[in-house]
Order: sequence, then structure tokens, then C-alpha cells
Amino acid sequence: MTMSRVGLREVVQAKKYRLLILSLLGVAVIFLILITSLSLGPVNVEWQDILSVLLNVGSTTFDSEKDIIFNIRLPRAIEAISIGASLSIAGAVMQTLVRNPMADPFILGVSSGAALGAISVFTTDIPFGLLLLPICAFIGGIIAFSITLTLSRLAGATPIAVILSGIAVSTAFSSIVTLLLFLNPERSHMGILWLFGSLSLSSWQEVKMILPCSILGIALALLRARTLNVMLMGEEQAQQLGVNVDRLKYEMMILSAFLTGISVSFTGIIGFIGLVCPHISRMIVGGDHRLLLPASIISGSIILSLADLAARVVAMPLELPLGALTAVIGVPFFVYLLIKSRGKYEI
Amino acid sequence: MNQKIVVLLTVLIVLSIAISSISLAITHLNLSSLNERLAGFQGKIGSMEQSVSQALNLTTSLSERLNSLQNTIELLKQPFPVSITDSMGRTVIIPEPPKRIVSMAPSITEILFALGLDDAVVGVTSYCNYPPEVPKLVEEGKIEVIGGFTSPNIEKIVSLSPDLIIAVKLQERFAIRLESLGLKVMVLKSESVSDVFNSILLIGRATGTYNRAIELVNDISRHNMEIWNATSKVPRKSVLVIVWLNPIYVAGGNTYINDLIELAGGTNVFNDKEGWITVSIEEVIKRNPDVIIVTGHAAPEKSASDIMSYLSEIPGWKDIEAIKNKRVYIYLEEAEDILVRPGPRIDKAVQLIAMTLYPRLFNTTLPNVIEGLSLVYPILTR
Repeated sequence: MTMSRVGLREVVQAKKYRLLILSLLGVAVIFLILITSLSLGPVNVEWQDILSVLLNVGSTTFDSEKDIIFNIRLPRAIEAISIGASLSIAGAVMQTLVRNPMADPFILGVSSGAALGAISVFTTDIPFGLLLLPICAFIGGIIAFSITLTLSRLAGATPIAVILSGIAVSTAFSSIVTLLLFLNPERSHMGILWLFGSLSLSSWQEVKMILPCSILGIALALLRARTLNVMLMGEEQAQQLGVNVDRLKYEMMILSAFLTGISVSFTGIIGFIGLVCPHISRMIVGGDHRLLLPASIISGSIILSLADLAARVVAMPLELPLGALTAVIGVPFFVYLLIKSRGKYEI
Repeated sequence: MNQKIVVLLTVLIVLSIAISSISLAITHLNLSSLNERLAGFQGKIGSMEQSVSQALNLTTSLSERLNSLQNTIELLKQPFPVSITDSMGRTVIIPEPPKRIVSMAPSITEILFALGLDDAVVGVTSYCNYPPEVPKLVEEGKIEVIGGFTSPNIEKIVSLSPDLIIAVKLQERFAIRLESLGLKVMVLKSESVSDVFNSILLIGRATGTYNRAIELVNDISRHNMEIWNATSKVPRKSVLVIVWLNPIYVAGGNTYINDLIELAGGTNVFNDKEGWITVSIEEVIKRNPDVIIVTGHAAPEKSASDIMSYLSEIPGWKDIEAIKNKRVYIYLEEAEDILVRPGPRIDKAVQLIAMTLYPRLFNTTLPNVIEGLSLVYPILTR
């Protein structure tokens, strides 16, 4: 009895210790990538110059180097970190919720809805200001998600009902996108590029909207980490342990849709992160959400930041599609972990 | 005696009545003819009035034109700053003649160089290959590449500290982003020949080369007129321009290429459809074009001869006039560039199409695969 209590305390201590190590390591790596992103690009800046530029932002004289670091690269790097973290968290939550390793944040139809919203803007003649595109994309995402939610509710709200409703809505919205692109070929090119996902138009205005939303969503998910752990035992078990399963499910679905919607509205569809980063994190820290969620934040932001760095730098001055690079960067790592875990891994 | 007088008087009265009635009748007759004459007069006056009002209209329109011309002259006299309304209806104020211009499209680069702004251009896209100086200047490092057409690199553009960036309508999102970084951006439309003329004039005004721009537009129009004079005398050929092979994707009405075909004296078989369209094999058979033009990029994986045999092997196509008479032409390299690029080489594109449609008018025979413009230049410089 005493032994086991001591054992438990040791386990908790060990977990806290691991969380601390993980966070410190993660923040250090992210910071390193951030500095690298700020220094690399068509204009190379020395590492020490970055600090002086960042500290002198107050002065008003136009200086293109300062502009590049402070107004182009920095908001872009911050956007990459917060969107990577958001998508990764959304994916981790969805995988637990529907208890399916194939689940990703796009399973709720949000991205297809956002795509329809965005493509509608591209294929009509509305002159778009800075915000029309993300706003329409977000509205599209909300509409698609509401349909998915209603459908899954009507179908009994079981995990399989959620997945299938999501698939139905995604497919329907994607086919409308295809039709729109087909009917407006001369305008479709920019739309298709949007579908690939890109951070190239990141700005402080976007960061001001994305960052608070991401932080809010992620914080809410972290607060529910313990409850999500209970969900891993199965819905019935969770119910018996006093978890309001239905409420949690809707809460988490809305949260996940919100995080996904915010991300895709501004950057287009960035695949892979939400699907694979949670798995990578699970392979490293295990399935306990108190570790898994922070680890997902870190892995998501690292992989998206690295992918965006590669997108910017590899084929300079051309920019490569981000959606493709996230996979190129993440898959080898994922495969390595998959082989190493030798089938012991499960959700 | 009295009786005689009475009789005489009566006779006189009767006579006078008769005479007056006769004269009345006569005057009445005269009157009606007079009326007719009057009506005729009025008609003449009316037509005169019309011609006077026409003349007046002409003078007003002339004076309007004179006014606008004067305005233009005033604008020309006006030193910088210039205020420009671009194709998106935005006002761009340019404080002084730009010295560091970034062009975000091959067509814009061509316009800038045609206006003699060679020294002011500091950035172009990776697709900008004309005039030949451009790739040379890029190689020498005097002009930087700012990325692709649909994926320009914002950082690269900012690093060049341009004082004017010229983008096209497709690139609106990038334009807005660049503007938010405090840069001057002009967005131009290029969906028709008149759009291109407008673009040339706008760029002319923005860069202080308005006279050269007017000259350029005049030259292009004059060359187009020459071609039109030649081709308008013969029956029109119908033509199909294919820009993608599978699915068949063609220029419909209201496209830049449709304008070129019209100027060349041909008829686009799909001019009743709006914009760029995907059409069925059957529809092409039904429209039965006399000539088919295919761009090289329509099937990047196929060689010109492959495209040729591919077209004739499409079921039912061997009976299409163009295929039957071996009037399928494939535009490659420079020939393709001038066809699809809405730049200042409109006249050359028009001439190339005219020659393709009516080779006999130009006393030439054209190969079915057209790579360069060696055939085109001699006639225009004539």
C-alpha cells in the first residue's frame, strides 16, 4: 500500500520532470528555428544583427532590411508556430475523441468549407481587401462544421457517425470547389495555390488575429487534458467515472473546428501536421494528454516552422508549396518512430 | 335708265362675286401648293437644323476632345507627383519619376522595356524573357529575379527597395500585402487588347514616358490597321485556339486571344462563349474550324508532331476542315509567348495570326510548327 503510493508519487514526479524537460527543450528548439528563419532568406542577415534590428523597431526611418526582418519574417515565423501548434492540438484532440488514428482536424469538414469560402472569393470579381479572404474562408468553415455536427448528432454522435458525417460534408464541399475551379479556369490558378497552403502573405494584422485565438484554443484544450485521458478508456467508462461525455465531445469538436478554422482561413490548407504530429508526440511521450498536448504543440510548431523555412529558402527566390513540404520534412521522422515503436504503439 | 343701272349693278355684283369666288378658288389652289412648298421648306429647314445640330454636336465633341487633349497636355506639363487610377480603381500617387521599378509579370516587363525604361527596372519574374536584354541583365546581376508569376517573393521585392511595383490583376493579394509594407503598387488589367493599351498609357504616365507610350500605342494600332486592310477583303476564316489538349481548353469570346483573332480578320469559332472554356470533342466537330492553332504548352509532354497526330486521331476530327486541309498550326517558343502574353507585341501577334489564317495574302507558306517570329518581322518593318 505504502509502496504503491510512493510509486505513484514517483511516477507523477517523473511525469512532471519529463514535462519540464520537454517544454524547455521544445522552446529552445523553436527559438533556434525562429532565429534561423529570421536570418535566412533572399537577404541574409547576421544573427547578431537580428537582435539589433528587433531592439530598434521604434525608429521610423524606412530601411528595407528592418522591414524584411520585422514586418515580413517575424510575423511569418510567429504565424508558423501558432498555426503548427493549433493544427497539431486539433488533430490530437480529434484522434482521442473519435478514437481513430486516421482522424485529423480536417475530418470535421472545416477545411473543405473554408476552401469553398476562399475559392468563391477567388472565382468572383469581388475586389478583396486584406481580410475578405480569411473571413469568407472562416464562414465557409463554420457552415461546413455546423452541418457535420448536425449530421453526426442525427446519426447518434458515435465516433463512427462523426467520421462519416465529416467525410460526407468534406466530399460535398470539395466537389463544389472542383466545380467552381472548373467553371472559372482563368481565375483558378490562384485558388489552387491557396489550396496548397502558404504562409507567404503573413503579416502582423494576421498574427494579431491568429495568435490570441490559438492561445485561447490551446489553453482550453490543455485544461481538458485530464478529462481527455479518461476518454481513452472508452465512452462508457468515462461516463461511469463522472465525465459528461456528450458535453465534452461537443466542446472538443467545437474547439478543434475553431483552431482548424482559424488556421486554414489565413494560410490555406496545410495537411499532415494535424494528422501526424500528434502521433509523433504520442510515440515520444506516450498517450497521457498532460504530456501529449504540450508535446503536440511543440512538434506541430517545429515541423511547420521548419517546413516554411524550407519553402522559403530551398528554391530561392521561388517559394515552394508549404502543404507539400510539411510532409517531406515530417514523414522520415514519423517513419523512423513508427519502426522503432515496433507495434507497441496505440492510441 | 334706273332699271339698266340696277341690271348692270346686279351683273357687276354677280360678276364680281364670280370673279372673287374664282380668284378665291385660284388663291386656294395656290395656297395649297404654297402649303406644300411651305412644308417642303420646313422639311429643308428641319434637315438644315439637323445638320446644324450635327455640326454643333461635332463641334462640342471636338471641343470636348480638345478639352481632354488640353487636359492631357496639362497633365503632361504637370511635373510629378502624378496621381493614377489603376485598373482596380485605386489611386496611386507617384511623387517623382520612379527609378527602381519591379515588374511582377512578363507582359509588364515588355511594356517597361518598350517604353525605354531599361535602366529603371530592378526586378522581374523568372518568366520574363523578352526583350533579350532582360535575361542578359539578370545574368549580369543588374536585374534581380523576384520569383515566379503566381508566387512572387515578398521579401525579395522589399529587399530591392522599389519605388514602384507593377502587378497584374491576378496578383491582387500580393499587391495588397506589398502596399501594407508601405510600397507603391499599381495593379493593371490585361484581359483584352484595350486593357493592354490602357496599361501602356498608365505605365507611361506613372513613369514620365507618356509621349513614348502614346507613340507605342499608335504604332501598334497602325500596324493592326495595315493587317486589317489586307485581311478584311477576303472571306473570314474560322479558327480554334487550343491552349490545353486534354481536356480541350480553348479561348472563347471576351478573351485577349479572341481580340487578336478579330483584329487579324478571323472569327473565333467559340466567340459566343464567355472567357476560357473547356469544350467537348463533338462541339469542335460541330463548329468545324477552318484553322486550328495549338500552343506548345497545351501538351507539355508531347512533341509538336505528336500533337499533330493526336489531333487527327481524335474520333471524328479527321473531317474537320482544319485537319482535312492540314491547317493545324502549333505555336512554340516566341510565337507562343506573343500569342498568350498580353504585352506590347500585340501587332506582331495579330500579324502572326493573320499570316496563319491567310498565308496567300502575305505571299508566304507557313510551316505547321511555328517557333519564332522570323516570318513576321520583315512585313511589319516594311
